Amino acid sequence: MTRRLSFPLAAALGLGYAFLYLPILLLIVFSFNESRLVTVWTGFSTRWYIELAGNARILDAAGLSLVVAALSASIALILGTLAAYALTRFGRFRFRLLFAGLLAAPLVMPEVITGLSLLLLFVLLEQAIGWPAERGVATIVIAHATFATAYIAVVVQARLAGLDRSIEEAALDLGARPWKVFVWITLPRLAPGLAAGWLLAFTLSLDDLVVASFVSGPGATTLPMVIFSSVRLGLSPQINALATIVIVVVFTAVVLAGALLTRRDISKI
Amino acid sequence: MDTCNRGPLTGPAETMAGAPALRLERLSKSFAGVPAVSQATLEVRRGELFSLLGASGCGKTTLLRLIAGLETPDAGRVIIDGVDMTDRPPYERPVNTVFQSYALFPHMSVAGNIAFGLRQERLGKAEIRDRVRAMLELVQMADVGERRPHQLSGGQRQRVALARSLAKLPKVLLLDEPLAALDRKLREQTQIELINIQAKTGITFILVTHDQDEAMSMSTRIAVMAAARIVQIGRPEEIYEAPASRLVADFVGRVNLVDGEVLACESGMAVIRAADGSGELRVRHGTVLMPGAQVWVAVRPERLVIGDAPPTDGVNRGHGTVSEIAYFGDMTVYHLASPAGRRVRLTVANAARGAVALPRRGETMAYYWAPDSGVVLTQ
Repeated sequence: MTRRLSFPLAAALGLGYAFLYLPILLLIVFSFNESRLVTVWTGFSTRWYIELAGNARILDAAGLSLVVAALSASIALILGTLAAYALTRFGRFRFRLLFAGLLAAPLVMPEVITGLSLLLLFVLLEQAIGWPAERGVATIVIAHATFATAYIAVVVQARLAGLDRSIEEAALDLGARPWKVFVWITLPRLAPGLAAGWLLAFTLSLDDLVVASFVSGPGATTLPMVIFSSVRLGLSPQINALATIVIVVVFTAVVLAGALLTRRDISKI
Repeated sequence: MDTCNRGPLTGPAETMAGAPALRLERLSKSFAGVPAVSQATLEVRRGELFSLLGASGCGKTTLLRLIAGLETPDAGRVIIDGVDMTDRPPYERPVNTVFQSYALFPHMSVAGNIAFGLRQERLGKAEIRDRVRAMLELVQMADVGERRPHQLSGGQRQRVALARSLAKLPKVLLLDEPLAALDRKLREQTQIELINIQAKTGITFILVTHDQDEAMSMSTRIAVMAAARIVQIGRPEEIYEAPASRLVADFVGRVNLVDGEVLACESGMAVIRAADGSGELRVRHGTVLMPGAQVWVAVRPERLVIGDAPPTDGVNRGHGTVSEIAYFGDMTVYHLASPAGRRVRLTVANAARGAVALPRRGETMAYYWAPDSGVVLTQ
């Protein structure tokens, strides 16, 4: 069934891919460069990876980023799933359209505005009720969960809408209480969507620089913040190595999420 | 509601005793102001195979879902086995449903599907296993217990859905167009199997169908639905021979309808003047009709007899030009155009091979029918 591409088409495709991925490829290649100068190739080496492993500042930031990503993705997963469930299963409730619109808004909101508004909220909250006492991990997690909820709601909503209602009705009809239906029937059918949504949220959090910069405090520096600040001081091959690892992690997560979402659903009858 | 008590009641349903398996009292349900079920009242006896027959969109599936508890009625009561279940959720009702789409759980094996309902009853492992095996044998699927639903054919899925719903031994089994997705041969075979399983288990079946042949051949009784209402309840032969209205007569089987005015009605014989001026019709009718009343005379196509009427008195005669002939093997259908411009449908059973020289298209054909063959309809 595969069609052979004609030469102009193949060339266009190649150029397109080159435009998108050549910079990333260069970065990966130069992460194995022996030279301290980022743009001069002298030979293959894994020394920057080894040096990276000894860089406590970067490792701490990476650990923090992973914790923040996992926590915020998990919170967003619960909130987003609840929102998606309400939108697909509760019929036409009052203000449904408004709810759907507000839920989707963070998808198109500029990150600067999201970050700034959250910062304002946190500062006001601190003055009013004394919490959060200082900005750090907690505030970043909350901020990331806020915008990731929107993404998860969209992914889960699509999955829920595609589920056959009558399967849940059949379970009810066979004597299962609603919460059992949710656990034994809905959740297993929803699982690929949930996993994909979680991975998506995880990646978004891992990548985020702007929102985190606004709402983090002196004690909490995420990986993108470390990379950004060190690049401003000058390019280091260590950062190339680090970026390569990040790319691999994110790429794996995205491919996995995509595979989960598009996996031909054997269950669809 | 016409309960249709003409004729002797000898059907199997009438011999069943005890409290009704299901009683619906003035059950109503609307969706966004549009009535889907309106004032449905009926009683289904234990062990019956009861059909809800109607065209699509007449509300029969909604009625089924109201019985299952998947919809809440706006008004009326649902009484199952003598207990008012109107306000109970579906998981507390002793009824199970075979869904039109079968709605098997895709992430469970066939055995897992059948066991699902039993697990909700907290039965022991061994007992569940035995019941699952018995159910698989009942539907002749003993060797596919470990397969997943997507590995089964349509007919097999239908059997698994049936086994899953029967496993809990419900008081009433609801079947929503269970045969609609099967091809014709398999459908006829499955009809017979369903009847056998019903007889074997003794469970009351309520079957939703739009297929009148299916309803006629399988049911002890039929409720005909149209536009959210139950328009007639009766045994198949009552529905066919004594339809309560033009609507039922037209929906169940084919019928020739003639409208007219009652001239006289004496000792069960009504004389009716056809509105198209084609003459007077004599129909034997059970009830008293007032002279001057506007009525319709319904005659089934197979009750019209080809040929010149014998010189007996009181036989209705007619003739027309043959406009269409459709040969079906076991019978032939003629469409005649009467002199008054009416279309007459007439069927002839092809009992003997090439026995009679039958009329051809364009020829004039005479027919007659006895006063017992027609029905007078007042609505």
